[in-house]
Amino acid sequence: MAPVREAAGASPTDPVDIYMRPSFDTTRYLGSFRWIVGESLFVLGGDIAAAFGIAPLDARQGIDLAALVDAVHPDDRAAVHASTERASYYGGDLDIEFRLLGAGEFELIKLTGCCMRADSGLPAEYLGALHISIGEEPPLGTIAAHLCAAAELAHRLDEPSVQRFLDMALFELGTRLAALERELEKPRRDQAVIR
Amino acid sequence: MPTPSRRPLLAQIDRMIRITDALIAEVVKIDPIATTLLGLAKAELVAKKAAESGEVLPFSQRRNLRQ
Repeated sequence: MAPVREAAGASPTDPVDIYMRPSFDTTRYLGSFRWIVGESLFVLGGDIAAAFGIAPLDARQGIDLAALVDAVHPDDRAAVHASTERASYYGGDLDIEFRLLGAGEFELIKLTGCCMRADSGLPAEYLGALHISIGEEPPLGTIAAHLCAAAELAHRLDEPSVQRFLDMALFELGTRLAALERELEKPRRDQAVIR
Repeated sequence: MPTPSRRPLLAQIDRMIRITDALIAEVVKIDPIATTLLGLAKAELVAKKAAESGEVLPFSQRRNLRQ
């Protein structure tokens, strides 16, 4: 997905980009979370709460990990339990993919987070984000790159009408890509809620 | 005087048609306008291929308008 990241102007070495924004054109940002490991408490944004079927007020005050796992697809619960258990003991980055119960429109949820350690070296809390996989929708950036290559070939073919149609299609996809990028860059209210 | 072969040009057009087909198959999932434009580009390519291979006479709109 490197060309897509470059097209978006993102630096591949930027840790925020790596942890908080996995492949922007195949996933949609759902919200941020804070996991206080010692208290087994998850503090969530409004959109995540809605997706998990939790009251937004409860989510802001913090809910137990078990309540969160109840909304996960039964086939994925064991994996989520194992990952969170491991993370609470050893720390390290969180990177879990799971499905939600009764969320027909969601293909997959991707949870990523990084560990904040206490002075003792034990994991104190996790900060991270949840993304919804858009599923089989092809990455816009990749298609735009292919279309650019096709437009170059058409220029070599010296066929003005074909060139014109390909350029127009490229412009259309470029506009869509810019709109998507603008939407993703928009500040989200729920990021402020969990501060 | 020997006439230059049309084969390389036809092969290029064939390649462009295949590329356009592959692009349409992907773009149709996300953008109807871009799909239509790619469809028009393909129609132009098919018409050019038919004209180059001698199946049809090239259509010049300007010349016909003058008549």
